[in-house]
Amino acid sequence: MAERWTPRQALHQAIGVLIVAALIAVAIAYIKAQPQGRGSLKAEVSALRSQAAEGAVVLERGDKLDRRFLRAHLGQLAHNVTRTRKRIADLHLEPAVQGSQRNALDLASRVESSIGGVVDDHARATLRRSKSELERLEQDLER
Amino acid sequence: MGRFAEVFLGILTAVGGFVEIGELTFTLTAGSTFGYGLLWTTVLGTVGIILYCEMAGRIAAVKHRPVFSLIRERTGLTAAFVTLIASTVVNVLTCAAEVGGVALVWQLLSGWPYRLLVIGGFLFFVLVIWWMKFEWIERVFGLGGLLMLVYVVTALYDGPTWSDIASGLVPRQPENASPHQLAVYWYYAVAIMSSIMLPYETYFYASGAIEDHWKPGDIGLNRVIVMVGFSLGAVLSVALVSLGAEFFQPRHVEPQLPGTAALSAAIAFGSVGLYAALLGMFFAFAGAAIETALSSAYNIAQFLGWPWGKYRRPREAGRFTLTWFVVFLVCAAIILTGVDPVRIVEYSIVFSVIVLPFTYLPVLVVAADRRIMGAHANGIAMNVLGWAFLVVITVAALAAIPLFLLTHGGQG
Repeated sequence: MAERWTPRQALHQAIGVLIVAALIAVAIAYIKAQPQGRGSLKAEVSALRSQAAEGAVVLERGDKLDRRFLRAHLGQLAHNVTRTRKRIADLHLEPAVQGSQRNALDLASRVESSIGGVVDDHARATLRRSKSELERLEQDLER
Repeated sequence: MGRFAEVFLGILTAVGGFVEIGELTFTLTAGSTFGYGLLWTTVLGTVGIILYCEMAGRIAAVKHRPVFSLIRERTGLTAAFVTLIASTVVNVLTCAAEVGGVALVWQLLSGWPYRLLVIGGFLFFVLVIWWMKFEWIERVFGLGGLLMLVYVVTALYDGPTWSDIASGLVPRQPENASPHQLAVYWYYAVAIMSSIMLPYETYFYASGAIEDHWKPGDIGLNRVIVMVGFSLGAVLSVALVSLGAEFFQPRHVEPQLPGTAALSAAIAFGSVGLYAALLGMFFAFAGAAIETALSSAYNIAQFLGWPWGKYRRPREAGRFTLTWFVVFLVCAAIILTGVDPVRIVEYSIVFSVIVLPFTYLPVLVVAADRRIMGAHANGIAMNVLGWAFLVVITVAALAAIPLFLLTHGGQG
């Protein structure tokens, strides 16, 4: 070990690292507090569309899948939908996209209850419909 | 058998690096979003990791020097300290994601509560590292990780479009894409390459070579191990891209859960496919968790000059042992907060790109130095390739964070 720090130099390094970490934390907090655009909402709507699409695939193939796996996987998927819904609700959006945000929240609730509830034809149909509506919403937000 | 079994170090390093939970979801999502359009990044990343792990393994065999000791010597104390902090953050985040991933897989197998399984996972990892010898960790998790080959079989069963695979090997931006879609494309290109060349693979591989007491006579074996291990990892990655393109893209699904990945095997091969996929993911994620936790302990011990190594008794390397234990404790605590493991690892993969040049530059400089390596120093071709990759890695490192912010973490 050719090079070594004195305790004073080590303290300076530690303070430097703490200052950089604090600056990064402040920058993240600042960015989060700014009104977000349609891109942020579109990112979450895309995640929700994928979750709805997967829910539809799983429910359609449900009778061919291991029951324990099916229950656990749907539980994990429903949990992810809940996370996405919360992220959509927490978005601090500019007024022009707040209508789309409400629409996305409504669709998230429908996807959540279909994946987390009873596996039946109604749930399958709701998921397929929600997926189509989410695709349209994604396209609207892309423009 | 003894020397042949060394190949499991390469397989464990590669499986734990190529198909850990982040790379698994990243690669499937890349395939689902861009078809085979990002396949070239897998090849590029694989050549890069083979090059640098071969150099790190050769240095370990000839000089018995691990990577972090070289970083400290070659970049100076301040730069090494910054690299240590960044790589430890990346290792801990990745390890936390893998602990969460193991709990998710166990939940799919057992149906038990997730948080209980996270605690079980913590105890499992502590017991495994405490009781198992290093070579048995390599063998058990390397061999178990081979169950991931079920994804290769599933991809072949689904019938990949070979012409599209061939065209995906040539770097080409998507046609008629908006600037935003191009940013997402380049975000995935950087992220996939980074996730293949994750720095912990090199730290773990070189330290593992020292754990296995390699000598200069093992240089040929080192080459075979990196070629076999990482080529296997690349085949798995290509299979995952293919499944993303052929199975998930038509269904509009971008996989974010281990269970989603397992669906493709379950639909193709029923319960056999499902359980092979789930067990394969368990071994791969667990291998990655062990790799990252041990890498953290190796790096910190090597930076501070502590005795380190699994080959030493815990009381002979007390601070090293305490470090990996604390890493697992912190990881379990992070996951118990309820944070999404996949999201954590996506952050860690992007931030690990920044550590890459600091990790690989000292390896390249030492491997090329004839005064240190003598007859085992890099040849011209190796130096040219090494420097070319360093340029690519540095460009990727500079682009990673802007692309991450611009694309909302690749979500569009």
